[in-house]
Amino acid sequence: MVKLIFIILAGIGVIAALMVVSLKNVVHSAFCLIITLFCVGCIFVLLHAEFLAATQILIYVGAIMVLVIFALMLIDSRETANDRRFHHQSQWVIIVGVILALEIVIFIIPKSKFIVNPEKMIAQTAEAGGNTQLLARYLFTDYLFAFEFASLIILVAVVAAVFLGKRLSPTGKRE
Amino acid sequence: MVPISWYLALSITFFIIGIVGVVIRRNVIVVFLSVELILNAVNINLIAFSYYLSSITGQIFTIFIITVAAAEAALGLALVIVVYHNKGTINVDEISLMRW
Amino acid sequence: MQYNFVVLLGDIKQISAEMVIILTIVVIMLMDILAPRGDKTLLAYISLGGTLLAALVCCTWNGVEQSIFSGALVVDRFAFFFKLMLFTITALTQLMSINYVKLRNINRGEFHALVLFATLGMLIMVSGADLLSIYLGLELNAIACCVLVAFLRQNVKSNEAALKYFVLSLFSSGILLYGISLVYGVTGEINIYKIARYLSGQQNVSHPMLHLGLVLLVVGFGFKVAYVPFHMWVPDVYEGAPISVAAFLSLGPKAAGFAVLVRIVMVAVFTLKVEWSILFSLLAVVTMTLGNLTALCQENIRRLLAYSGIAHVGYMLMGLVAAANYPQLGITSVIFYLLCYVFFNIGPFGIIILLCNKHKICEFIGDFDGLSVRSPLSAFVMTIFLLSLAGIPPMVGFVAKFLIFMAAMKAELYWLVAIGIINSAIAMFYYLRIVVAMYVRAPKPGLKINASPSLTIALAIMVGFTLLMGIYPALFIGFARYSIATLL
Repeated sequence: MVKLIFIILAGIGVIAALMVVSLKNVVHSAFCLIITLFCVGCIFVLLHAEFLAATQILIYVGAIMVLVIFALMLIDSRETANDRRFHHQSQWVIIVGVILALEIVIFIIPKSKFIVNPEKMIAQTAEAGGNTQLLARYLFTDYLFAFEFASLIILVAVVAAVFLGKRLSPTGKRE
Repeated sequence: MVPISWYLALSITFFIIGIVGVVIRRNVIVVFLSVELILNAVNINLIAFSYYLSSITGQIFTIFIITVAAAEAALGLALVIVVYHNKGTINVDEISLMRW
Repeated sequence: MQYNFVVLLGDIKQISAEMVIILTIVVIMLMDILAPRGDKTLLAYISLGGTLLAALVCCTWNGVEQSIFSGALVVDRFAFFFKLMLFTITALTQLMSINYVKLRNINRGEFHALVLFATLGMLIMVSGADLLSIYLGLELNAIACCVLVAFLRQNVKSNEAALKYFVLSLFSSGILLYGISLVYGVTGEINIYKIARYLSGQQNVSHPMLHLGLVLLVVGFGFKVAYVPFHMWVPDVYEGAPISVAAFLSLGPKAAGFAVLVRIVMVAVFTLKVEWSILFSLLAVVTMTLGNLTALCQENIRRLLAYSGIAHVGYMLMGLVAAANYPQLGITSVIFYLLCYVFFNIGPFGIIILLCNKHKICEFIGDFDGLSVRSPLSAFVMTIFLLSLAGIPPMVGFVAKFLIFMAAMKAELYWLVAIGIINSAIAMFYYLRIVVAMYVRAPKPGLKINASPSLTIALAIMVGFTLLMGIYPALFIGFARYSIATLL
């Protein structure tokens, strides 16, 4: 049953991903990416990562993609829609990509052995009282530094966006 | 239970689609969307490994990847708008991305 | 998982240099908001002061090596060496920027804050002990640098360069992350030391996914260090970015990237040394040959410096290849090369700033015609830098290259040394072309020196160190050797 759900989600996700890179209209690509991101979020649920599934939907679909669509509104994408979509000789890139993917999926993945031991995780989650609690416990102890440092990254992104977005008057001086 | 190799195969597929998208598409926004596909491939990998290895680290890493992706989206789209205003196009070979 | 307040305070004390930088950023941004119309030159001096103070604080380190924040960062000699180097690079950039930003009308608080942000990212990269903090440091650096490249907002070249930098940085970090995820999947760890422990405990480490992960990791770092698959941004960014930012980018991310690479390949995956040494030797050959051959046909000095920088990365990778068999010798040669590269590679950018004025940037070789007549001193200084870059004997560039080639000879990589020597010979041609232009050709009208005290100080420091390191390299080689003693 779980396998069937996985196959359906993966199938929809891959088809939508292919449409992202091949569709002509940028807005359609963005919407296809939303479908892919949604499927990936559902796959996170299959992997017992409920908090990240929620984060995926909230931040990726809710924030990042809205930002992209907003940016597409500000620039005139109709003008670019009539142009050539691809670089020259991109068919070679596609062929190489397909070969690489097949090679890895058929030859490398079956040969690699990974440790499979999910029982401990299930026990830990039950002990902590849920996936979110377990994540929080580690995020605010072992990974505290990374958490605090991420705030600096967001700060610099805010400074960057404000600086770049600020309108300049024709003389180059600040308004 | 779904075997781990299925998740890996899915993530490799997303990864290759993303790379091909970055290389072949001319529109910067689509290139950006393709990079998001690559990041999602990474997230699937990390979370699948996190579950099968019983180690929470992968999920923590994913949180930070999503955070950074949001920060970069803000920066990237601001940049795209600046370039569009100055140049009137967002196609990458017109802004000579692949020149040696 | 036990974590109490006392431990936390102790850990924060270990990163006090970084805290000084953060505080300086906060002060600069607050002052920028509180005095929107004022002159921002004060902020430039504050940021310079913050860097110097942080360097001083860094020097008070008591020499005790430990990992802090539950293994997120590590305080060791290797990180100490690179931190001092990064503070030097930042301080030189700031000195060169003070006058230049006024000239280009970009004297704004954000500029000074962003330079410090970029430095902070690199400081975390060099002391990062797990792949998560390394990744976060890298992204902080990438975002800050990207905005710095785009800082000349009305300049189309600057915009394009920033967009290119952004797209490639995003793409390369995607590849890097995929590599990290595979390494994590195989080893179950993201901490460099724990990965090393796991791999040394395995009998058979040749796991195909680990190999794939390692290749992707190395390729992903290629963006920061500027070797082959991700070198395309370098010329355009050097050409489009503000010159002092180009000088910063030519050294800072490269040094930090090399520090991370050394830490990863020498500690985490040293057991896979056969695989990565083959990978690096291929990258080294392609990188230096491509860099040198394309540098030959450049007329723009900034693009020329970009390609020559790519070629220099190729030489450094040779040292890394040699380090697979002779860790001590190989890594010493690489980081000594980086150390002296700081001074003689930022130098030419300083000279370009010296020659630019409000209306014109002298960036073509033709613009340097007859510089020796107009200003013998600056022509002489430029010659010193160029001879060092070319690696001509009395200069430090020669010593550095000699060390690298010696390490490679000892590791019996004769073919690599042969290619390296041929490349150095090619490189000599394009460096000497600029020297010939300065000394032989007749001067052009309109060439004017635009010296400012801060720029003069920066140039004096760079020339002084270039000469000092050439005369007495043993001191600096000793420092490099000291810094890696506990890493290997």
